[in-house]
This record gives sequence, C-alpha cells and structure tokens, in this order.
Amino acid sequence: MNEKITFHRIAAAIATATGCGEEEAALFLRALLDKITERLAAGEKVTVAGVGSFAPGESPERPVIWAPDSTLADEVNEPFAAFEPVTLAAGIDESQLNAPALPAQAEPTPEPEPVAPHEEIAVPEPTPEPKLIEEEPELDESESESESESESEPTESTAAMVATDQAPEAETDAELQPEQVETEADSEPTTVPADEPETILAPEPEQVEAPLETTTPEASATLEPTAPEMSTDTESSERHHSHGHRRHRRHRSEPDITTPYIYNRNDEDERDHTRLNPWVMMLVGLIVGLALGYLLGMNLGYLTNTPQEEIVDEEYIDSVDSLDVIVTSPDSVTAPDTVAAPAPEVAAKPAVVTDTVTSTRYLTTMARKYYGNNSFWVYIFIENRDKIKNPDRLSPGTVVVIPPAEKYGIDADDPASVRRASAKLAEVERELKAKK
Amino acid sequence: MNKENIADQLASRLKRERSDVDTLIKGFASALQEALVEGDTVLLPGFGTFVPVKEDEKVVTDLSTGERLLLPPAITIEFNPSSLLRRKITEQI
Repeated sequence: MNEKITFHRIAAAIATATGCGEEEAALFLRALLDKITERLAAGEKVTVAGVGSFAPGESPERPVIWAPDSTLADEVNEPFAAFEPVTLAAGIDESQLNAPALPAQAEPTPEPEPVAPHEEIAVPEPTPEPKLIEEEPELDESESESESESESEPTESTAAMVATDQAPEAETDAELQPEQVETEADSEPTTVPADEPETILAPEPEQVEAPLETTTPEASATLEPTAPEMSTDTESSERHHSHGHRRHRRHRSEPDITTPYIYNRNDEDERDHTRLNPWVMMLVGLIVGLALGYLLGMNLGYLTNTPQEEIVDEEYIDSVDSLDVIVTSPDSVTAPDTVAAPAPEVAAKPAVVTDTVTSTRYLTTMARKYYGNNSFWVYIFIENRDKIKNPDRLSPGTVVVIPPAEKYGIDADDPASVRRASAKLAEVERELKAKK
Repeated sequence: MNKENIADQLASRLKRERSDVDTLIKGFASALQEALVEGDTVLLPGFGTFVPVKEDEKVVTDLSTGERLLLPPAITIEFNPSSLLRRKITEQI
C-alpha cells in the first residue's frame, strides 16, 4: 500500500512470475523500456499486451498519451467495479445529494486502498440509489416482490400468518382461562401467560405450532374437572373463531402483514448477529480481567493475608536454592538467617556465608557476586587457605567460606580497596612462588 | 507499432526466442498489475512512473441532453513519463 516499487523489485517479480533469472528479467525489462522509448521518440504508437498503449502526445506538456490495457484497468479498479453511473432525477440538487449521501460517501473516500472487500463497498450502494431515483417505482417493486415472495414461499407466509393469528388466539386464551382456572388453582394462570409470549415471539412455524398444541391440551386437562362441557365448547368455538380469523386475515390483509413481518425477521437476525459479539467480547474481557486481577493480587500478597516477612523469606529461600548457595549457621538453618545470605551488607550477622566451587563458579565469580569486583577473590582465598592449596587448581565441590566484606575492608566502589586487593594478590602470588 | 512487432524486435535484439519474450512481457504485465492493485507506485527509472490514483465520485452533466450522471469513484492508472523520456520525445516533435 502506497509503496514505491523500484525497477529491481519489478524485475524480481518478473523473474518469479516467469521462472527466469533476476538479471535476465532486469535485462529484458531495460530492453523493453528502451524499445518503447525508441519507438515513441520515432513518433510511433506502441502497444504492449497486458500493459497498455503509449502514444506520443502533441504538446510538450503531455508528451505521452497513455492508455492502460483494459484488463489492467479493470483489475486495478476492481473494488469499485460494483458501482455504475446513476442518472439523477430532475428535482435533485447537488447540495441535496451531498447531505443524505454523506455516510455512504464517507466510507469509500477515506480508504484509497483498492483491495477493499467487495461487500463493504457494495453495501452502501443501495442506500443512495433509492434516494436518487424516483421513489415510487422502487416502492412498487418492493411490494410486488414481497407479494410474489409470500405467494411463492408458502412456509414464510404461513409463518407470518401463524404469528399474526397467534395474537388473537392467545388473547382469547388469556381471557378464557383465568376465569375458569380461578376456581381451581393458583399455579395455572402463571404457566399460561408464560406460554403466551413464547407463541407470539417464536418466529418459525414449527415452533409456533408446537406450543400451541401443548398449551391447548393442558388447558383442556385443567378445565375438564370443573366444566368439561364449557371447556370443549369454548375450545371449539375458539378454534372456529381462530380459523375464521385465519381465513379472514389470509384473504384480507396478506401483503400488509407479511411485508413488515419479513422485514422484522431480517432485522432481528441482523440484530442478533451484531448483539452477540459485543456481549461475548465483554464477558470474555471481564473474565480475563478478573483472573488477571486475582493473580496479581495473589502475587502482591493483597489477597492472602500472610505477613510480608514470610513471603520475603520464601523468596529468599528460592533465590538461595537456585544459586546453589549452602548456608550453614552455627545454630540451625532457619529462614531468617538465610535472608542475610546473598546480601553482602547483611553479612555482618553471625551467619557464615559459604559457597561451593563448581566447574563454572570460581573464586573470581564468587568475589564478583559477593563483593562486586573480581579482584577481591584474594580475600576468599586467604580465608580458605586451609582448604585451597593452589588457587589456580580448585576442585569442584570445595565448600568455601566467604568472609564478610568488613573483615578485609572490601568495598568495590572504593579504588583504594581494589588497589589493596591487587597488592594483596601480588603478595600471595609471591608467597606461592616461594613455596614452590 | 503493435505488440507483435515489439516482441519480434525485442527477440532479435536480445537474441532470444519469440516465446521467451512473450512470456517475459506477460510476466512484466502481471508484475505491474500486482503492484498497482496493491496501490503501489511503480518507478521505472529512465522511463516513467505508474501511479494508481483514486478519483472520488462526481456529477457530470451531459450538455446535449441536460442529463446529469453521478459517476462512481474509481481507481485509474496514471503514467508520468520521466524527464528523460520527455526530452527524447519533445526533441522529435
């Protein structure tokens, strides 16, 4: 989108499209362009299949008259191919046109991208059209359409009919039943009205008829013990009544009822689709948010009412474990003592800090870890003179005591301390050499 | 000068088969189309640029009948010849 495709990229595209080498394609493209230029300069018109025609123009302002190949032009204009020129009716002004067409206009204009999906652009099209063309023929068409629809599709029309019939029937049900049921029980009237809205709302014929059948036997069953004759009479009359209604309506106001009903159904379907997504999204978002909040709360220790110290201890133990640091205190290995382990500042406490030499951890790494500078490894060596004979030949598994920083005046930030350390190192090295 | 001619001349100049040149021309057309459909500008140095341009919808009046037409938006391809091509052509004119 809005990129600049250079010569080389086009050459590469040709190479991939034809299967030849990139250099070859570049050579060919150069030759083709040169050839076109040459012919144009000679005053000839050049047509390249699939690209278009180049003709020399008359004026210096427009030296080349270019006409794209029809296939190329169509492909590029593909997103707007669905539109067709519309003749404007006499009464419509341009200013008038802009006002209602604005929403439709706004959609295609901000996006110059030609790859925009067909449907999106095709949708706004019908909205401006009926406004532009005279409205009457459009309306006639829609009515005739709906009529033909209702005639050709019996299921739809019956669905509409049943739904419309349901209203009076349900009304009669509601009128009749409370009277008779009042004498019997209280629970009945509650169930009957519950069925009522179902039958009215149900959009499909099967669903509408099913509750109808279920409700009527119920009603008859409840009615039978009190007044069997009455109920049957009323039912039969009801049936006749409803049938009469049905016929009546079917003949009289068919298109009037079916058309709004069909539109309503479509509307409902659309609404269901659009309504479902935001709700689901909101629910998911809420659940995720709650879970995240809970986890965060757990981590921060807000929800668990344990004292802060315990958590700190646990964390320290974790870190100490992970670092393979063995802590031996004179009394016992307890949590509060281990707190002091990794921090050199707290090393002044009675707890003695030790570390184990491994294949990847030497005195220097320990010195860097505990004191912040490699040079201080001398002090660790001096402290463990009895265990380490030669600092260059450590055996893995040797447990080394890390002396507290204060003992030798270790301070990584102080250059003097570092200098002292290196002086000490030189001294120790001299001693070692002397021993040898 | 039609495409047959140009393909022939190219074939002789590049010393290649006619069919080769045909497929290469087809490849160039498809590459150009691909880029333009994406909305990209194709720059061919020494020749010119192909630019896809979006035109908004507009009302056009037919002067002879007084009928007004609402033309839909469209994407058209513009070709801007490079200065080199301009010079070569205008020298001839």
